[in-house]
Amino acid sequence: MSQETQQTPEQDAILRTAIDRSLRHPVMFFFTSGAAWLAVSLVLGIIASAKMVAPEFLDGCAFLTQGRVFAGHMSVLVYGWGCQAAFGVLIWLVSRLTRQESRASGIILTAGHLWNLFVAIGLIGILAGYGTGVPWLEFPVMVWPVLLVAYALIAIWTMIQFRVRSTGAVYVTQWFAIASLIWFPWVLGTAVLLIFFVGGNALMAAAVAAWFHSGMIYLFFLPCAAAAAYYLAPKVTGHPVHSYSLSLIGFWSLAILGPWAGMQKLAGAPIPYFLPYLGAAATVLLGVPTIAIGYSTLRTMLSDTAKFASSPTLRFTAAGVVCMIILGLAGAFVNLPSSTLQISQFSITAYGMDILAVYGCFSFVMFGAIYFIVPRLTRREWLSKRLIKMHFLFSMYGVIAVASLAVLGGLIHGQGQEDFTHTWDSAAERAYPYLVATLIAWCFVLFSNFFFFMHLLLMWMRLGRRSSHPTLLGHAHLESPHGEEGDIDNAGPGSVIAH
Amino acid sequence: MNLRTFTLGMLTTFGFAWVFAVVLPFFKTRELTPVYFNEVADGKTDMYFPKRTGQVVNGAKVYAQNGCYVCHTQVVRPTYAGNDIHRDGWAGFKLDPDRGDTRRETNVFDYMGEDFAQIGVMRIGEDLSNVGSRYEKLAIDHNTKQKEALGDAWNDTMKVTPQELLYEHLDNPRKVLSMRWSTCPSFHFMFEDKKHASSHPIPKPEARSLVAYLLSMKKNDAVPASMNYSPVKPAQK
Repeated sequence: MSQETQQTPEQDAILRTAIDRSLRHPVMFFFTSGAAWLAVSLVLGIIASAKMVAPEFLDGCAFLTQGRVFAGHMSVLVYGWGCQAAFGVLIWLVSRLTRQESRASGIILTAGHLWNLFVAIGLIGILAGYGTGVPWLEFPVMVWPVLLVAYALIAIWTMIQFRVRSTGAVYVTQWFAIASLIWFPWVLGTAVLLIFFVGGNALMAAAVAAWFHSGMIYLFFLPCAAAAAYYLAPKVTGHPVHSYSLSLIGFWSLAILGPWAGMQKLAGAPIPYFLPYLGAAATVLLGVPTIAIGYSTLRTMLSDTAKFASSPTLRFTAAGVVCMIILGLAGAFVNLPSSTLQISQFSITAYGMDILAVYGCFSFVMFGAIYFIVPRLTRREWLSKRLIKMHFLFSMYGVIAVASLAVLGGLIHGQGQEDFTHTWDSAAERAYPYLVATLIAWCFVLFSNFFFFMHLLLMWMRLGRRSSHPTLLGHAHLESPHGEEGDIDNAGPGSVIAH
Repeated sequence: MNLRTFTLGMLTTFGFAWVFAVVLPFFKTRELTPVYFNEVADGKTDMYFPKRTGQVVNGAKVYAQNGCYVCHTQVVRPTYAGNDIHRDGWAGFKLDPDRGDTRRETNVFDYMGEDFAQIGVMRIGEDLSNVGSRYEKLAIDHNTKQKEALGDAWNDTMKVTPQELLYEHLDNPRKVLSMRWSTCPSFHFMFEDKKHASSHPIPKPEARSLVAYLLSMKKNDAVPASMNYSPVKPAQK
């Protein structure tokens, strides 16, 4: 992953520090506001889950109706936390890899504020009853053009940096990073334009929404996670990416299959018949890229077991990559037409898969990246390994519980739905225990993220440890996973006096 | 991989799927070709046009804004994709007193008047494709039962309408004993504050349009033979 340069290590370190300094405010802003939105989303998710098992809970307020809260929960998870974490990581990764300081941090920061403002307006809009009713596009229509403009202002500089970079070759991380930066506006723009502004057949609008939903997962969140994992694994372990050809297969199979997936959600609905089948086939085959990406990044991470055991970054990233493989395999398992598709299509599996993708696969890798990037930006080390461990354990427990309960419980729920010899309430009864367990698991996730958010906030306020020793999870260790001791960015030869 | 390969690859892989799975199908289905009944097979020659009355547009908006699609679907899948047709009342009725077996899968004309087909995210509650037909039947059954029970004391002012039953349900989804299991939220905020606990809920405008929209969902009308995918259905009347 390291690039050939004619610079001395000292010059190199100075350049890296300069890049980090130039990006400190926008990237930290994306991370902290993203983490705050994550907490909001989790609170809404807990309310929504609670209402699914106890409908009388917080009953009587229009703005806390189950449907509105659920829509707010998913929208904030995707656009408040997901997109912002991704933006922060992607702009930092591309700047570092193209070896250029950010020249537009002010504009990026302003656009980030605009993004946050309109996510807030969107959430208030949903809760006040002005949602559009399109899954994952529930923010009121006027919010979308603004979000797209804000995105353009955030991403355009990264694209320019990538275009004017000095080295010719494009590295694995960059494929995934640049691809997700291109796919995101393409998918979102298409969906917003066709559904809200062009207008067409009601069913095709629903099909485009289903395609968009899948595109956000497989063409934005998944490649973002892949980009970060392909950067962090070799960087922390100090070993090259395990197999170049495997990552090539992973990238191109994702690019070829990803855009076809999604419309299997409308299997049996009167849309052109080939669309759901194509969607199902593509989603089943998406197991291939997830396994290819997962295997090559995991092998890279495991190339240094000592660092793997002690680095918080690697622990989170590895968990996210394992979730990515599970997502690919589960996606293949629950989308088989005339077999599992009909029982997963409308059961709680749908929710479980979303959580597995956004919280399991994507967010864990983003946490890993945040644990790596933030000390470099703030020039402070994480305060406490116990807080990191708590974050990991409770999040992991929560996401495993939510995803496995919803995906597997969803199959049982779906069988109940299909069993027409019993009345409908027996199907609802089958889902009930899984919904209760989901509620409990969400509470664990919220608990863990409260600590994460506080920890991140302290780091943002530059109250982290002033040390050249990174915070590690293990006990005593001889060598640092973040490079030679004394040569990390915080106190290395290239250090610029902190202020 | 150099930039040229990367850019070209990105454009072709995404662009191909984008054009053929999204843009072309979207614009090709924008205008629906009308389907006509056939003189020989159906006994009439009109254009097939499912009628929907009431405040469909406003009601669909209320439905979307309150997230009903999170727990309710609006699609009856053909038997190759699910068992929806066999659930009583979902696809129509097996033994309709007038028309016999009225069950059928959803067709493309069923979403007329709506901008976005609320296929739904999950099916925690029942499918709503025929909720209008179900509530009409419920009202008729209720009235017949009352009439039998009361005998001479019955008069027509005691009749309940499907609207009233739906208002009751939205106001308190768990009011009826057989619906105690329901986890549907109460939409009490769509009703005026009641003066007496015993009186009927008084709907606000949003409840009126929502109920009108729900009652317009009677997606079990007879379709032309060319669109009828369950030919075993006896063509009664």
